[in-house]
Order: sequence, then C-alpha cells, then structure tokens
Amino acid sequence: MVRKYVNWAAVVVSLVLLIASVAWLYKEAQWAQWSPSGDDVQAQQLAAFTYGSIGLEVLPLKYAAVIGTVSRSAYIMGTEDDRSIWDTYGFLPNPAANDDADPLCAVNAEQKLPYGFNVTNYLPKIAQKTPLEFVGLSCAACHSGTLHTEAGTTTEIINGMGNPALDVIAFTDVVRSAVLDPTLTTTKIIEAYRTNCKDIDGLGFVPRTFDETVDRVMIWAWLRAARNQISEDTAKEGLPYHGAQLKDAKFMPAGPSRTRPFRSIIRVALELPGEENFAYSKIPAVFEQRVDLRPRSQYDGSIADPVTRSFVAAYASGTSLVSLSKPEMEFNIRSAAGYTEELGISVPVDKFVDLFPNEAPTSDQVKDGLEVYKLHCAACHGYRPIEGDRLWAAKGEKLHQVSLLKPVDRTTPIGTDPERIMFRYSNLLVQGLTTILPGWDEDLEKQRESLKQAKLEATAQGQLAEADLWVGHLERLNLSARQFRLGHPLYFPETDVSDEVGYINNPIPYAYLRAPYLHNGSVPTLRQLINLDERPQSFCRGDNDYDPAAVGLIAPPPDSNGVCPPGLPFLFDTGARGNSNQGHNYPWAYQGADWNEKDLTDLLAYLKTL
Amino acid sequence: MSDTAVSTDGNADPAHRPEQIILTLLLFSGSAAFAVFGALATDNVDFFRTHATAWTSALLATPAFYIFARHFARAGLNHWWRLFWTFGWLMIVIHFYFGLGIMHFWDPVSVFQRQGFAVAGPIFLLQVTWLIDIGLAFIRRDWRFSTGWYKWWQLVAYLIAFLNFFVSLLVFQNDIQSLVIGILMTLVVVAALVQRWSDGEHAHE
Ligand code: HEC
Ligand code: HEC
Repeated sequence: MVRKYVNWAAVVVSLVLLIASVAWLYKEAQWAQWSPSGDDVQAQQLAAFTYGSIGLEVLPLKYAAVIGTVSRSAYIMGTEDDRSIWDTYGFLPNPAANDDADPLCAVNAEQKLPYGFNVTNYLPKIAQKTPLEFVGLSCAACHSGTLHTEAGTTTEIINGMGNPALDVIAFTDVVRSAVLDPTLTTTKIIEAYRTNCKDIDGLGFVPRTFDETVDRVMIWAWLRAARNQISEDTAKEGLPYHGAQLKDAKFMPAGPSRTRPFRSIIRVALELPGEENFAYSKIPAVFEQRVDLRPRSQYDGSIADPVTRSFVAAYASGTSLVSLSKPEMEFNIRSAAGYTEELGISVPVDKFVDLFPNEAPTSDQVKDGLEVYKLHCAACHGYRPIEGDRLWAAKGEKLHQVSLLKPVDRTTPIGTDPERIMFRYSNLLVQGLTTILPGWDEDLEKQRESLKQAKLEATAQGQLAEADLWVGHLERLNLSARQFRLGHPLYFPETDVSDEVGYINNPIPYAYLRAPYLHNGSVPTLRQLINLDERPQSFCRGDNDYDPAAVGLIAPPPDSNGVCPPGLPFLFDTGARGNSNQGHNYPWAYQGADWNEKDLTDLLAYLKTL
Repeated sequence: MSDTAVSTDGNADPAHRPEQIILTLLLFSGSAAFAVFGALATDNVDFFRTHATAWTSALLATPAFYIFARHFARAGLNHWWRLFWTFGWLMIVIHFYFGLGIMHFWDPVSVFQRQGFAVAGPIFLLQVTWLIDIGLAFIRRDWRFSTGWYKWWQLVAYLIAFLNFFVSLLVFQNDIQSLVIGILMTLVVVAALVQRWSDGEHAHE
C-alpha cells in the first residue's frame, strides 16, 4: 500500500517538475522574442535613447510604485521632504504624464515614471525575461534635461544635454538602503501596491488574483537575491549613506549633475576597490557625436567608436556583459549611439534664441564675437560658421588633440583639475577595458596575447601584484569567451580606446546647454568660464534655475556659516579635491592683462549661437 | 524456440518493475528543473543551463556506463541500463538545444570554427550514434544480449559516448563540477571493469 502511494507521489512530482520546466522554457522563448519596432530608423534611435533598455533595470515596478511610502525613511533627507523620491534626486518629470492625481501604477507607469525610465520584463544583471516587470534607466535619464528660469518658465525636455539636477550616486545609495531595510518584505510591498493601485489597475474586487501570487513569488525571489548582492558589495563599497549625508559633499562628493564613472568602472572592469578616486565627471552633453566631428569622445578623448562610447557608458552605470549581449540591449546601445551622432545635426536641437528670444544677441555682437572666438578658441574647439547650414567646422590646428598631463607637476597645459585623468589605476584601465568583451577567433587571440604581454611587462618591472591581476584577468577573459562563444556582440578592438592622459580639445556644440562648465562642473556659467565674471569659490547646487543672461546656472553662495538653502542643499567647494575651477583661462584670466569687457561680451554673444 | 531465446527477450526481463522507471524519471525531471530554474540564480542563465544539462546527462548516463562495462556480453544488459541510457540521452538532447541553439544561434558551422574538427566532430557524431543506439534498444528484441554487427554497434556507441564525456569533463577542465563528475564517472567505469574481471574469475572457479 505504502509503496503504491510513494510511487504515485514520485510520478506526480516528476511530472510537475517536467511540465513546469518545459512550460517555463516555452514561455521564456516567447518572452525573449524581440524585434525592433517599425522601420523608421530615426524613430527607433529616439526610442532607444529615451526609453530603451540597456540592462540598467533597478527595481520591480510594483516596488518602485510604492517606494515613496514603503521606503520613505531611506530617501528623505530632512530638507526637501515633501517631494517625491524622483524629484528629490533630480529625475525629470515625464511630459507624457497627465495632471490627474492617480498614483504611479502598472497601467500608467510609462507615463508616470520619470523621463528616461523604461519598463521591461528583464531581471537585473542577467537580463532574463520573467513575468515580473522592472523599471530601469535609459540613456535619457542621465543625458537629458530642462532649463527653468527664475521667472518660472521651464523648457520642454532637451534630449542630449546632461541632466543638471540629477544626483544619481545619492539615488544609488538610497536604493541600496531601501533594499537592505530588514523590515522591507514582499507582503509590505504587495499590500501597499494593492492599496494604491487596485482601482487604477482594475484589479477590482478579487483581492488575490493569480497575477498577484506570481508577483509575490517573483518579488520575494528578487528581494532575496538583491539583498545578497548588495550586502556582498557592501564589503567593497561600504554602507550606503542616508539622510542629510546624501546631500553632504563630505560623504557624497559628487553631487548633482556629476557621477563617478571611474570609481564604478574600476570596480567592474578591474575588480578593484574604486576608493581613492576623485574623478568626478559631469554628465556631458552628447550632441553631434559623429566621428568626423568628434573622432574621440569622453573628456579625455579615450574612446573612438560611438557604439563603444555608448557601451562604456552603460557598463560604467552598472549593466552586465550578459545583458548587453541580448539582442534588444545590443540594438539599443547601437541605436542610441546613432542617435547621439545625429543629434544636433539632422535631429534638431533647440537653439538658444528659440528658447530665450529676449536674450538673443545682436548680429553685430555675434559677428564680433566670432572674431574673438577665432582668435582665442577655434584652434582647439573648431567653430560654427554664422551663416549657411551652420555645420560645425572641425578645423583648428589643435582640434582633437589631447592636452597632455605633464608628469613633473601633474598639470595639463590648460590647467583644469587633473583628478579625472590621474586617479589610481587609471594606467591599468585601457588594458582592462579592452579585454573585457571577448572577441572571436583572431581577435580573441590578440586579447589573450596582450594580457600575457601585460603580465610579462609587469613582472619585469617588479609589479608582481599587477602581474597577478593580469593572470586573473586572462582567466576572466577565457571564461567569458566560453560564455559568449562567438565573441561578445559589442566587442571592440584595442584601437577604439586610447590611454593618453589629458583633456581633449573637442567641438562644443550647444555650449549653452553644457552648464555647469568643465568636466567637473566647477564653473556654473559661461560668463564665468570665459572670465567675464569671476568664478565663484563655493556655491550651492541642486535643481538650480537657469540664467540665460549669464548662460548657466544660478548657483548662489552658501550663507556665512557655509550652509546652503534647503532647495539647493549641495555645497560645491572648489577647494576640495577633484573640484578645482582653475585653468582654461581663455581668452584671458579674470581682469588680467588684455582682459576687456567688450570682447568678452561679444564672445559670449557668439557662444550663445553655438 | 528454446529456453535461451526467452532469456534474451528484453521484454520478459523479470527485474522490470515500475519503481525503475519512476526513479529514473524522477532523476531526469529533477535534473531538468535544476537546469531550468537553478539557472535563474546564476549570472548567466544560458551558460549555466548548457553546463548543467551536460553535467546531469553525464550523471544519468553513469549507471548505464557501469552496467554496460560490467555486464555487456556477460550477464547481459538490463532495464536499469536502458532507462538510464535513455534519460541520459534525453538530457543530452536538451544540452544540444542550449549548446547549439542558444549559445551558437543554431549555427553548427560556428561550432566547428570555434572548437576545431577534432572536438566538434565527435560531439555531433554522438548525437547521431546515441539516438540510433537507443532506437535499436527499443526496437530490437535482442538488446540485452546482442550478437553479430549489433554487438559491435553497441560497443562503438558506448565508446563514443564515454569518450565524449571523458574528454569534455576531464580533459577540458572547464570547471570544478565537470572535474568531479568526470572523475566519478571514470572511477565508476573502472570499478565496473574490475568487477567484470572478478566476475570472470569466479565463473572459472
Ligand atoms: C548614469 C548616467 C549615464 C547613463 C545612463 C548614460 N551615460 Fe553617457 N555618460 C555619462 C557620464 C558621467 C559620461 C562622462 C564620462 C567621462 O568622460 O568622464 C558619459 C559620457 C558619454 C558620452 C561621451 C560624450 C563626450 O562627448 O565626451 C557619450 C557619447 C555617451 N555618454 C552616450 C551615452 C549613451 C548613448 C547612453 C545610453 C546607451 C548613455 N550615455 C548612458 C553618464 C551616463
Ligand atoms: C588649448 C586648447 C583650448 C583653447 C585655446 C580653448 N579651449 Fe575651451 N576647452 C579646452 C579643453 C581641453 C576643455 C575641457 C577641459 C575640462 O573639461 O577640464 C575645454 C572646455 C571648454 C568648455 C566647456 C565644455 C563643457 O562641456 O563643459 C567651453 C564652453 C569652452 N572650452 C570654451 C572655450 C572658449 C570660448 C575658448 C576661447 C575663449 C576656449 N574654450 C579656448 C581646450 C581649449
């Protein structure tokens, strides 16, 4: 008798396992089906840039919908507490959202989430599709923004400018705290979501639908995995900051509009701790990335191919190689890159005069300004003609050259802050980065050779630990060559990346959209950058208003105690390491020899037209 | 028909009990679920599934390897052999789906390009020989005590399967799991051969 029951039980278990496995695989194959929508290339590129998934899924949608209530204590800072989590960290309100009072829910997520967010079914990191929806970041979350003035006008969203208010590093710490919160449970999330959204999603009267049970299981599994991952990383990254620390430069030195891409890239590409890294990068404008105009990109001109630019951006932001090997992500990386190549050329971008007609310069000023510019700036930056099709003239004897760091005193000829180019391990980065994505066949062999060579060189120089690093890296390459058996689809050759240490002289199209200026965002306005006004020593940052007259952000100084107002809580101290506002004193140092207001005013007028 | 004819008829094997099929089925479905769902906890789903299906195929085939090495052309093969052999094969079919379909985008030529003929050739050969061997084991009544060309066929199919696993688990040294499974599989077969030899000694006594 017993034997019979055991037999039956075993048969049932077997069949359940088998059917579940087959059904899952079948569903997965359906979920994984993907093809680009439509055949309008420009529309595809815009879509990829603004809401395409690049493997940066962050939170389950249903958790994101209620994070403001369920995890409120993780994100409030004691200063801006009546704002939503998205506003607090500078994400852009979505123009597609209507004004109804409905909360963010699954049905309206694509309209209610901030601009540049996407909703996908991909699991973070492994990019496997499941029934659970996630929200993630697209390029536009970082590379788009608005300008709002003291008078209360706000422009529409401008794709391609760096978001001046976005504090993505603080946001990351918020997410880490929120997920680690021991009182956060699946039930808490589901209950809060149901309370907010049952009428809106139309879940109606059935309190526990089948979908909800699936969500429950999936969120539970996600929460477990995310917690494990985050606490594992805590050993390398330290505990997340919280409360007022999140806007305090002592703890979170990047602040609004800047990230620390090299801290993250050193963590992911070299698997070394990214501390001792004072490289703060302003989220740059990504206009006119076409290779004839901009053969090399990033502030140091380290990356040639636009697709590789876009890959590195996504990789530094935390996506995984597996994610980027999925057809959808690969397509989005390529299309978004294509978008940045044409953005400002065949894809129009608002001009300064369109947005601020009252501040439009006179044509005489512009003409005179061009002369000043040609004399002092065009050699390095090229220029935009004031007539005709106004395509950037990529001419200039120093254009596209890198202003190299001098090893003796560790300054560059232009004299801006050197931390972005001389952080610890920067010398290993090119070798590391070019052997992350396995190539195929001969390319792979070359990558292996170069690592072996690097090991030999390190050994010869007595850099034994570094030699060991390359041994480890070779093992990693071999493993990923087995994972991406035909080479990684985004593989790029060594020649795409250069390791000159310095800042590159590149075109500066749409200069009025690049505030705050310089790679570290240390100069709030263009007037200050050209030394028509004195550059401020310290100023307050947050979601600053835009001043079209000074062409840049209105960044007031802190009060006499060095404290910033609640709306602009981040104190930017140019005396802090990595924050220097020195250098690039073109055409002249502030009120130095040859300094004259007329020429500078004309120059500013011309710069408004770039 | 003589008595011996009855004993060579597989379907009349007295040892055939429902537990045999239930147990092997359970092992097979457990392995499949492990590969499919376990992968979701790793950082590369397709990669893990490709490997997990290869590991479990080897594990399922190992009892069959044992029985064959010990009893082939002696006491004769049995139901355990045929069941493990079949489920091991089913698992390698799933492995093939992931390895060729997912990892190589159904492009067999790329497998040859990547691995070279000496490695890729036997892998594809195995898919064919194993399938035929299983087919024969279910069609032919003499599968337990094969004779003539069929006996040779069984031996060749066995060797192709064993060597394939041996090379890919032990020689390639991909990961620790493969190594352990490869050693286990090999030790089991060696033990079977030793027992085969001692079975023979006893028979002479
Ligand atoms: C987390 C924010 C973030 C996201 C998301 C992001 N980027 Fe960036 N991107 C940056 C930062 C910061 C830099 C500057 C790095 C440096 O050189 O220091 C940058 C640099 C670039 C550059 C070089 C610009 C130049 O002229 O030097 C391009 C092009 C670019 N990103 C494109 C993209 C594309 C395309 C995507 C989407 C696939 C993307 N980025 C996603 C933050 C981001
Ligand atoms: C010797 C070459 C050189 C000359 C001359 C030069 N620049 Fe630059 N410029 C650079 C480099 C290199 C950078 C980037 C420096 C950094 O970010 O640290 C830069 C940055 C800038 C930026 C900031 C871009 C951004 O995204 O923040 C502007 C605007 C600019 N230059 C305008 C001018 C103007 C106007 C002149 C002439 C008055 C001028 N430059 C002269 C090399 C030069």
